[in-house]
Amino acid sequence: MRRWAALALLCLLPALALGAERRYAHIEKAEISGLERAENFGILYGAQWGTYLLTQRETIRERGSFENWHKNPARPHFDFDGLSFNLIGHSIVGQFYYQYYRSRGYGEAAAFLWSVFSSSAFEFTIETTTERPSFQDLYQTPVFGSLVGMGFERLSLFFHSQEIWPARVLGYLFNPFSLLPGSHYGFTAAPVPNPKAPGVALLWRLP
Amino acid sequence: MSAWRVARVALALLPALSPVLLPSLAAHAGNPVEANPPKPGAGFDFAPEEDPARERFKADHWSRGLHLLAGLGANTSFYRSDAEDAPVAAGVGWATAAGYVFTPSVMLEISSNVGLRRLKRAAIWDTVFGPGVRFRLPWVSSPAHTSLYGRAFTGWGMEVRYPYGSGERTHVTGPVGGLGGGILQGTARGTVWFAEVVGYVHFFQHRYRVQQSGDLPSVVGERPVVTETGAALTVSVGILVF
Repeated sequence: MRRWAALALLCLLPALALGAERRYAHIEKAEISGLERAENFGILYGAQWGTYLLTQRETIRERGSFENWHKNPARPHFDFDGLSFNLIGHSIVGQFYYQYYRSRGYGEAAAFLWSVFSSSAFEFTIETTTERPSFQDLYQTPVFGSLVGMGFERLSLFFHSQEIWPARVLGYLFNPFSLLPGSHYGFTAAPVPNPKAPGVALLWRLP
Repeated sequence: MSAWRVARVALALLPALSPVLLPSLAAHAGNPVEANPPKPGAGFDFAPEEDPARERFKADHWSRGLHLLAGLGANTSFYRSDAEDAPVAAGVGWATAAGYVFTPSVMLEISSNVGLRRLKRAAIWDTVFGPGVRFRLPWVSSPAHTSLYGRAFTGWGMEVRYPYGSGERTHVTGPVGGLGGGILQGTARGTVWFAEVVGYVHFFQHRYRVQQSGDLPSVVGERPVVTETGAALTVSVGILVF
């Protein structure tokens, strides 16, 4: 029951975003240089390795090997994961890839394409330490992830447009990459130290 | 290293990163007491709102490039031979297709159909996907801003059966082939909708019994399936996402 509820939430929540104000919007970058693209991909690739090593220590200890790492890329297959892992888990991971590239100023199609590259890089060069690349993951992570990411991005902008603290928090929960420095959204957030009093204020500003 | 320890290390490193982070933050954040705040949009390299040179995808003229379609719908499947349950199942599902348009009438794509259905004694999660082609049917007359299309695909499918009250599930796999057709219609705001009917045949070849222990599935039994075939009919309505 819980997984059906999670699926319904993934599909229906973004509908709320239809009421988002236009001034809260993604700002597409006119041109992204090859160096920037390599840098963006590299940062995410490093984060993928870091997350994998931190969260899969047990699996790596039990089933990981260097032999797997260089033999598995040539042996993709259909995995036997369950519904919640394949549909919900991979969609959520994929939406992080998509939102990361969006926050760097990529258009929707470009963010999707780079999500495909990042997802493939994970399947063929990271996860192969413990398992063979999965055809389902190669398709579902970027495709379903981008669709969820588009919905969550709109939902995040809707929450930000309410301009109240609790909604701001939800806005960042649905799109944490809008907190990154230089995120390409119609607003920015930054901690500003007050020299006259202890503490830090978090301020938002529309461009 | 625990997650809490990682968080503490990250917090400790923040001051060291501040020379990198703060100039970037300052460029965009501004300060309310600044005498000369930056101009609106400073720090961003805006793309034009609507690039006139960029060709838009229209129902009756497909623009060259990468496109994604997604829709929701209903599906029903029919089983032949040694199916141990009801011969017909119905449920909901969704369809996606990511493809590249090479000419205004042809898109090569990788598509997917996911169906969630119920039988008397099991729930079914069916996934098929593979390469295919989607092509306009310009010789069939259709109203303005509308076009009919056909599609064909092949690939692989995996039907997962979750028997009620059992800790095990069964994965049945095999090649898939399908045909379909639909209609594309553009709205005044530029959104392109589609409605399509797709039928496919799934030739079941292997049946695996799978147990889940934590995150890891393990195959506890396998046998070839030689007589079983499944056919499904899906109806989907959706939009061109980009």
